[in-house]
Amino acid sequence: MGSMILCRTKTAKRPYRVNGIGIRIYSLEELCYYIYNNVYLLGNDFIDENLIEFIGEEIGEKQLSDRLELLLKQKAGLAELMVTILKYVDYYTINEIENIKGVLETLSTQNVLERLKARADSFLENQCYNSAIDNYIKILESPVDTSLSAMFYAKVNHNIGVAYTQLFLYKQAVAYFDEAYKIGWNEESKKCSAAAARMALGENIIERDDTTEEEYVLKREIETLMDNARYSDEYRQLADMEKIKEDGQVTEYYEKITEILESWKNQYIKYIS
Amino acid sequence: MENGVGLFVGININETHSMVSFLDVTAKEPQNILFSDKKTTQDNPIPLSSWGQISKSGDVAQTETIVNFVATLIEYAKRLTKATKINKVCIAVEDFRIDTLDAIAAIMMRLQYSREQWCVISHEESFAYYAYNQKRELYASGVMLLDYKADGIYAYLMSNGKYGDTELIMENRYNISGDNFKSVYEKNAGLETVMDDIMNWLSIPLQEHIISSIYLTGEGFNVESFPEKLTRFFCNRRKVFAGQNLFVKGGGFGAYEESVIGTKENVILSCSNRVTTGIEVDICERGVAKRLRVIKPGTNWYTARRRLDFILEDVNVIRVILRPCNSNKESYEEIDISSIPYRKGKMTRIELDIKFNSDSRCTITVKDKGFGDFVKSSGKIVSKDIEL
Repeated sequence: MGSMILCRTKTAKRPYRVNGIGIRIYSLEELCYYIYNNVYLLGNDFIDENLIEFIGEEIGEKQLSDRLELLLKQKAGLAELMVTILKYVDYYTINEIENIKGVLETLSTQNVLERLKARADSFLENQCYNSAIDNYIKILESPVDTSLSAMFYAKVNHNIGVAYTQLFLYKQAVAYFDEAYKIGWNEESKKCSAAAARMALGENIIERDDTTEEEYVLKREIETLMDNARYSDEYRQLADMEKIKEDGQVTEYYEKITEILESWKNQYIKYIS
Repeated sequence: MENGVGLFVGININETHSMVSFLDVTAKEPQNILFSDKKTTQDNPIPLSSWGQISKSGDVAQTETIVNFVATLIEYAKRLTKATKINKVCIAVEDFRIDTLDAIAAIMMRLQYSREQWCVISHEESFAYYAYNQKRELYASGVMLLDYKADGIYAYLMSNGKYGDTELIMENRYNISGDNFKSVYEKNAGLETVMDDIMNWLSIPLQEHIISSIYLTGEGFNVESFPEKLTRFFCNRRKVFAGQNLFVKGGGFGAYEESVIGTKENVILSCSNRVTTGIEVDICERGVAKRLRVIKPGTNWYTARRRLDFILEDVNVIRVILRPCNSNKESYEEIDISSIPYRKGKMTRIELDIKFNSDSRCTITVKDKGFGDFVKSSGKIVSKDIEL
C-alpha cells in the first residue's frame, strides 16, 4: 500500500545549484533526497551561506535557515546540520533519518583523507569524473598520512586512472595506473595500464608478432569487448537510427539524432562537473 | 476605519446599482457609504449581467469602465475611513454565475488585489452573514429572508442545527411568482393584491419551522407601509425587519469573517453556493497515517479551489473521501493515476488541483511534476469529475 506525503513548503522559482555535481535543487524534498543519497559527497562546506539564503529566501523557510545559521555559528557537526534539515521536512521517516545519522556520525570520526576518498569514490560511482579526480588529487597533494596503508594510496591512483579512462584521456590514465601498480602490486592496475596504453594509440597500432603472452591475452580481451559492443543497447540504438534513415523517415531520423546528442551532451556535462 | 489590520469592505452589486459598506471593527457593525450625491446607491455603468460577456470578449473600453467603477467603489470606502490598507473586500452579487464571477476576479486582479484580499459571495450567503451577526435572540431559532424581485418573491429559510461540535446553518428555499406579483413589483398595484397569496404560501414553512426573525428586502418590499394584516402575519412571535441595505451590510460582515482573524471554525454555513461535502485524502505524516481535509464544508464553491503538492510513494490510485457536513457517512471516489510512470522511492511530486464548477460538482486534476533535476515530469495529467 503506497502513501502520499503533503508538501508543506513551496517550490523555488530560482533553484540552488549543488557545487561540484551540477544538480539543481528546487524544493526541500529534493534537498533531503540529495543529502540522503549522496551522504559520502557531503563535506562540512555543503551548508554554506548560499544554501542558507536559498532555504530562507527562495523556499521561504526562515525558521530552518535561521536554525542552520545558528548551528553553523556554533560550529555544529555535519551530522547535526544534516539531521536538522532532514527532520524539518516530512520526507524521510524517523527510522530512515536515524540510520543516516549513524553514517554521518561515522563519517565525522573518519580521517580527513579517508573521508575525502569516500567522497571521491562516490563522485566516481555517480560518473562525475572531474570532481572525482579533483578529490583524489587533493589526497595525493596532502602530506602523506603514515597511519594509512600503501593500498589506500594505490587505490587512489588506480581510481584516478579509471576516471581519466572514462574521459578518454588514456595517456594521463596510464601514468596513474603505473603508479598504482608500483605502490600496490595489484595485477588489475598493471592490466589497466596496458589497456589504456593500447587505447591511447587509437587505430594507429602496428601489431607485432613478438608480443608477450600477457599482451596477447589483453589484446584478445579488448577485441572481445569490441565485438560484444554491437550487442549493447547504445549500439542497437545507433543501428536503429541508421535504419530509420535508410527507410527515408527523415524527420524521425533528425529527431533521434537530436535526442541522442542531447543525452550525450548531458552525460558529458555530468562527466566533467 | 484604520485599525492596523486594514479595512473590511462590503460591496453589493445588483443588476443595475451597487452599494458599499465598511465594517466598524470596534462596534462590530457595518456602515453604509454615502456617495457624493448623498445616496447609498451608485448606478452600475453597465448592467451586471453583461460583465461576464465583456470580460470574455476583451472589449478594452468597456472593461476599463467596469474596472474603474469597482475601483471607485472601494476608493469611496478608503477615503471616508481614511484607511490606507485594505484587509478584505467581500463582494455580494445578485447574479452568481461563473461568467460574472470570473469577470469580478479579473477586475480584482487588474486592481492588484491578491486572492486573499477579496472574496465573492451570493445574496443568500450575505444574508446569513448579516442575520447571524445580530443579537443571538434574533437568530436563535432560525431566520427567513424574503427577497421581492422582478420575477417574484424568493424565501430563504435558515435553520440552525448541530452536528458534533459544529453548528450548522442549513437553508431551505421557496419561491412564488405570478402576474400579480409583477404588478406589485412594478408599483402598478399595492401589496394588498398579493397579501393573501404570500400568507398562504408561507403558512406551511412557518408552521414547520420556528423563526426568530424575518427580513424583507427587494424592490417589491420597498414601500412606505405594509398592509396591517400582512404585518400581523409576519410579526406573529417574530421580529421583522425591512430594508434595502441587508446585502451590502452582510458583505461587510462577510469581509471580516472570510478574513483570517474573523474565521469561525465551528460554524458551517450550508446554503446554496456553499460546498456542503468536505473532501479529504489519506496521507502519511512523518510515517503516521493521517486524514487530511482538503476542502472544508461550508466554503463558497467559487473560492474553494485548492492546489496542493504531494510526494507519492508507490501510489496507483488516489482515494478521495467525501464527507457531508451533516453526517458521519463517508463515500469514496478513486482516481486512477497508473498512467503516471512508476518511480522507485519518493521521486514523484504531483499537484492535486480541486476546482469547483458549482456547489455540488468539482473536477480533480492530478499533474505529474516529476522530481526536479532528478526525474523529469512525464507531463501526464489525470482528471476526474466528481458529483458531491
